Amino acid sequence: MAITKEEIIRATELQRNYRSVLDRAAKHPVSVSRDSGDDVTLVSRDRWQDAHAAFEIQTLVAAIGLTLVRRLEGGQVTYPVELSWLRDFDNEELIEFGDEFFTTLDNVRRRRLPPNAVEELIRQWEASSAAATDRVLQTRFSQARKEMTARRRRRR
Amino acid sequence: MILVPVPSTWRTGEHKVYVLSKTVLKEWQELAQRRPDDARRCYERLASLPLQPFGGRQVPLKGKNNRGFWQYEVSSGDRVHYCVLPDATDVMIVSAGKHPRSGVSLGITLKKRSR
Repeated sequence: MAITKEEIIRATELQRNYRSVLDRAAKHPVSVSRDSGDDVTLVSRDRWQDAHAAFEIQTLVAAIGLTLVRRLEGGQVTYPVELSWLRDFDNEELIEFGDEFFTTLDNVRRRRLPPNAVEELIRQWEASSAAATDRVLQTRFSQARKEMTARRRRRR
Repeated sequence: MILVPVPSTWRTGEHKVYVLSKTVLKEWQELAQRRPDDARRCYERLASLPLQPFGGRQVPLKGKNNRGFWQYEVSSGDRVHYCVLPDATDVMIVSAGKHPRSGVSLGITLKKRSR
């Protein structure tokens, strides 16, 4: 998200015209310059949430990128807690995950997908890791595949 | 394959819903007894829109060993796993009930906070 305009005012103006300042802050960031203490910026809640989400995405991209590179290099990997499920997939599957993740991210950036598409994709893979490591479930999947094959043959 | 018995109050869809085996039927019946409303919602979704992801609740499973299978989160601790049969008309539930790793949560929240 690009900040197109930032207005800088003195703390005294905020005291004098707080309503007008808040109205302007709803439209663009207004930074309050203070003699004592750090400057403070007023922004709309939507803008703050967008910035926060962007920061989280950035953190996630870095963690996923680093984990994928380390795994594909064959080096020692320390998985972030929130991505520990990645260990359940082999390298081929990790490449598939990386491809889907970065494609989704790009589509969100281009507004072709809603912002929560990234989170949904990660949930899908996280759920898949639990299924992939569940032996009982994997046996059922094998049985189901056999059933589907038999059904195909019966239909021919 | 066994057709899932449907209470008269449940809506049926264009897809028939089967279970893989008697074991799975028992799992499904136990789930439906324990969480009747959630099981009904699950059944109605599978019978109408089995191949349409729905947030984190209904997801296609990823990875080569899971390919072709889907997961429906019935409740925080219960999952139904299913696939759509080759002719795309019928759905087959392959597992229903408690999930060993249910409740695993994503460590991040990318959605906007509610007001």
